[in-house]
Amino acid sequence: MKIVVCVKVVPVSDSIITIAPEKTAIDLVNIKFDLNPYDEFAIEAAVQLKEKNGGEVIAVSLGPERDNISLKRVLALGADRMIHLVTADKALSDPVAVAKALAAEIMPLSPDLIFCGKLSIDTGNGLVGPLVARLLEYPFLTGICELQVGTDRLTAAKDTEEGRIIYESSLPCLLTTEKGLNKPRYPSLKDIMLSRKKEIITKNVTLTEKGSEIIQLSEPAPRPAGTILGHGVDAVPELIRRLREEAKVL
Amino acid sequence: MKIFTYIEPENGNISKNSAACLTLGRQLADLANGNLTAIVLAQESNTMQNECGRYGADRIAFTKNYAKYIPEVTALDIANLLLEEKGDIIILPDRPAIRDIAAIACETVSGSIAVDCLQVNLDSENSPIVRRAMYGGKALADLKLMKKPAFITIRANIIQPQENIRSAEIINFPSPPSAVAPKIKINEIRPVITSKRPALTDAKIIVAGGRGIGAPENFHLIEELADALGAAVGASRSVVDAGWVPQTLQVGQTGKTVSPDLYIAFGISGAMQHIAGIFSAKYIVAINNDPDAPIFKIANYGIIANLFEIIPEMIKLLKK
Repeated sequence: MKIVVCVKVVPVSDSIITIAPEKTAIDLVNIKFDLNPYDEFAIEAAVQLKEKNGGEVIAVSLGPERDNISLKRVLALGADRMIHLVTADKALSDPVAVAKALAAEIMPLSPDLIFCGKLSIDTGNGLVGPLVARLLEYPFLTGICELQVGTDRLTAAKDTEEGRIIYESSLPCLLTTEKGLNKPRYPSLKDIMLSRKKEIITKNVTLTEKGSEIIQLSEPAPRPAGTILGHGVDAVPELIRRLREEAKVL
Repeated sequence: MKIFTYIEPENGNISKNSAACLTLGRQLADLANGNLTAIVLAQESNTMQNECGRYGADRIAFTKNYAKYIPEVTALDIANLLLEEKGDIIILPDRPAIRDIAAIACETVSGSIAVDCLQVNLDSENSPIVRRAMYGGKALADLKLMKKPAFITIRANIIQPQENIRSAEIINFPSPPSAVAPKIKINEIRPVITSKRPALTDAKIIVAGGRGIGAPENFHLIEELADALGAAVGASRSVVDAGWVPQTLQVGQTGKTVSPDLYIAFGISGAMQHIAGIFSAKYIVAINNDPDAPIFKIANYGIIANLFEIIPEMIKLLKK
């Protein structure tokens, strides 16, 4: 079974985000980068399937050169190959341009399964997976939290507000992973040593057919300073009064 | 300029978020001297026709090809209509299933897309400029959508629906899309067995619990207050990671970004990832026994207290 995992390197979730002086990018000073947390579930799902059924896991990532350091971890986590499509294009914020570049790389691999994280925590779109699936004419399911893969079919579950829906799909198929699908492993020292023999293949790419561009980034307006209404249970009547009369939200 | 909105039915009427999308669509249509068409996922009905007209639709198209939970069917129907009509913009209420539909339709018609938008304007060439959150709400991005049609999904509870009464004329979908059997099918739906609480991302009020709740068996207090207020229930990441409540309740950068009128946080210290996820709430109330908890810095009202005393008192006073 040939499995492709799409991964992205993002600022870690406890980063303090400030806007760079030119206002179309964030200030990268003091930002720590790592794999998008949802992509770790995608990698784990792919590696578990390989360990069970044999085959190959190929990871593909699109992003600037600096991502290279974080991408080494994908190999330690069990991917056999890592393809890094390198570009510093500002259109990395555009899901359409990103999906086109990823799909062009994945198409000749004709994988049985493609995994992506449910969304990346920087842009927060959750669109690249579905767009890649459409470009490759694969069926797709987003945000899956349960998975069983057979020889030519799979079943997967996703949670919605109305309940858990169990889907069945033919292969090939693209799946995006939700937290809870599995428990991503910590690479052992042996995994890390072995991963040093695997290579990151870098290819320079140009983004085309951009759908959107960032005009300006800004920081959200600070919330006005609030009021501590008091200590303990005696403050509750005042809270209810303020919510009813001042805020008018009750 | 041709603007479309995607309407979700709700109890035989249109959902509030759909009415908000119509309101925005009407504003843009007026700015650009265009017209507004509602695409409704329901059987033809007078109620729907009147409701769409009430919020400003000039025309209404009823799709017959709706398959709940299979986005492809709806998406191809929409794509077909937009191509035939040379649509410029389509506005949709944001939710995960609709993002899937928008992605498929966008790719089918080679359009552009921005999701979970907070504002939409037009530039001098009538290209949409949208504002949306990035980095889990720690930054706002203004994006220009350069390809038509532009797919724009709107965050719930951001735009207030406004009436702008017209009589919406019914138009037909131009030609039935070729019937391709979807490769995905549904085997089973296991309904959630909880009370009828609103969805976290749509709720006007959210009651959320964090580590301060102490133990999973105490979480029912959060639920009881939520039910007293008709509110949704949320949780911080630490509570979800500890396995006390399901992942679907998590609020924050790796959970859901929410915009309720009122967010009440019990025992949530306020990690920056959590704060980013509630930043656009109109009012935030924090109850925490640690006076230095960072959540007090962004809360409109705070009480320094043991939440186990506060919740029963709130329920008691609310019932008065």
